[in-house]
Amino acid sequence: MASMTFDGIGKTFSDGTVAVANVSFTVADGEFVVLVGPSGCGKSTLLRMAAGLELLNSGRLLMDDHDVSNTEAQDRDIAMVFQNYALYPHMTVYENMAFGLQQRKMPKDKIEKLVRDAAEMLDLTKYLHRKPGALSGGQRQRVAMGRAIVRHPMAFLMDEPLSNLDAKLRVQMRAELKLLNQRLGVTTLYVTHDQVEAMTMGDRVAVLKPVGNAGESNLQQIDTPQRLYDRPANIFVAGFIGSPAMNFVRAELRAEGAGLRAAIAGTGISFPVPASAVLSAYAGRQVVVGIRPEMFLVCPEAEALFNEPVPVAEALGADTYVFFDIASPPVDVNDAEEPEEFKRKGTNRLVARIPPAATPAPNQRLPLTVDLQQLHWFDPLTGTAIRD
Amino acid sequence: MHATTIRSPQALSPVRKSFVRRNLPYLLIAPSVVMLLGLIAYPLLFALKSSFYFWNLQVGPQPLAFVGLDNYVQAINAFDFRAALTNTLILSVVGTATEFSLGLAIALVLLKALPGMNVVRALLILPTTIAPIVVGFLFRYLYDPGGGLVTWVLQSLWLPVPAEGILGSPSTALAAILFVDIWQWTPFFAIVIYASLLAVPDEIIEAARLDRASAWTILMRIKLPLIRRTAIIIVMLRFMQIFNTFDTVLVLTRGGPGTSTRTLGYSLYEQGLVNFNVGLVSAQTWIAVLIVNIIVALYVFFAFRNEEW
Repeated sequence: MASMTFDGIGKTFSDGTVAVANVSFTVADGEFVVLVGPSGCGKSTLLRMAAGLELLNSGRLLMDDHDVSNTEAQDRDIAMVFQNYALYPHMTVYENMAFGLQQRKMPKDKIEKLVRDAAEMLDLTKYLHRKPGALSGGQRQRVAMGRAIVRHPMAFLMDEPLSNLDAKLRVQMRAELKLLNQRLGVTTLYVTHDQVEAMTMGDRVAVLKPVGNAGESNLQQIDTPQRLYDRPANIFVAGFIGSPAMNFVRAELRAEGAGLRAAIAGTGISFPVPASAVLSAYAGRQVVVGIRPEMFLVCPEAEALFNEPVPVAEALGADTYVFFDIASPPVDVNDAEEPEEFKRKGTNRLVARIPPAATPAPNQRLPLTVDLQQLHWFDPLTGTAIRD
Repeated sequence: MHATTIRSPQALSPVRKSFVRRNLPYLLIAPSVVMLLGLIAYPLLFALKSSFYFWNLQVGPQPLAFVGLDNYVQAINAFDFRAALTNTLILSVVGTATEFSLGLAIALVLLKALPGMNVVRALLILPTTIAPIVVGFLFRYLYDPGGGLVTWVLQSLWLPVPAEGILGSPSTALAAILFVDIWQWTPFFAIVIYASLLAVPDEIIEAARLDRASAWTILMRIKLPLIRRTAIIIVMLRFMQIFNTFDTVLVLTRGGPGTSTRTLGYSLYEQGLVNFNVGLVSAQTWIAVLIVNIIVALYVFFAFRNEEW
């Protein structure tokens, strides 16, 4: 087991595409870190670089303070679980799991014991003599896991290992994987595009974003799931973490007496801003306000901040998502904003999570307010959070 | 019913419908069965019958007498039988093995995305497209003792070249024929193996690398087993083809010097189309058919024993 440090890692492909740039973080010994982000954010490339399957152009990769940047994949002592499992189709489950051990010239009886222990742990004992072709998706997934854990490697790398499973099995395997990690305590780097997987499994989660040039960094924020949700570092992270995604509206901050008041662009809606030293500096300027769908409250009409017709309501049983439009220009979470765009016209569709009992009839108005303490504030030019 | 309506099978009379339905699979394979029977089974059975008769077209147009197994005895005791069988087996086994090994090596090089590989791939297919008879003539010039390219290269490298020429010496003639076959057919192996190696998912190779397997182990334990089925089949096809070699022998050496390059195929040609000894050549044909089928059957049995098809 080992810690793993990415130190200013960068990767540019031969066609000039910048896949990864300026990524630095450390996975502590025994920690479970999830890399999450949309397609093209470089998460798989990072993982493949950690495995040694992809060379890095810049930066260093350290394992327990040893520089392994130029070490061959064979010599890194890392196990990887692939998205399509990559089992050896011509070998039995036993042989698949034993293969890695045979490569290090381990005595036969020791291999046998290790494989049987791993099979026991993963409930695969019955299938040891089957070939992968005769197994179900979930079983193959477990064999892939078994092949990794049987070697007791320095670290596990997992590349969307659950994405080929059906929804029910995925939830089940998610819990099993997490338990397994806790039991084995092996340093794990896990790639997914599914934020639920990221939030539920990771000790810490690294949110990545595609980069346009080598000057930026893919890494937006790395933190515990709860802190990512509570204190997102910027608009991108705020928009990526949480389901349904956070609503963003443009607003102008005006001084009002000793405090501040925010006016939502294009609408007559305004509300007092909780006192904040940092926000005060934005008085007279524009900001982006982030409102989580779950921070909306159904209220009497007189107290409503928003009172719009609801064309669509999605009933999920425990909650209902209601969608409504306000006459305010939308916010693009992926790009820094130009001040000009602020004056643009447009409608911005917001979503609120409400109790099912409060669901309005189609196209009826629904009076809503928000918990003002729970708002997120972002600088529209840089996208970074404005926070004390 | 309207004349323009297309008649569906249901519209046929009950008797015809049930006949077509019941026999549809047989009707569909009937053309190929007829072809096989006409082009393979009939000649083989005709040869089997002829092999029991004394029938030489130089003596008369019809079989003259039933001679039992005499033709077989004569074939096995013929002056060239043992040499032909040995040469044929040497050519088939060494040729197939060498072509496979070299083809595999070339395929592995092709997989490395080196510059210019597209051109190499295109060029590789060329030898295979030339008719063997043309290749034979080509090499007759290359082997020519008075200025052939191969002779010249060997001499330039201070390698011993027999005074009577490469094709003129019993010690080198068979190797020369083998070389021609290897030259022509190695690219075929290279391309087929290359194609099947392309089908091996990269992830599996990467998984093996992370399992700390060396390049050699990956080749022997991952890549080769995964292309095993293709390999088994092309080796079998090529073995049977070389076993019947006759055209290159005809053009290059006519089986000589002595019997040093005689193959079963060439003996068949000589008995049948030079001596017109139909009875004897039929017996020889059947001996060759039995030998090659026994070898292939054993090969298939051992090769496919552990395969789940």
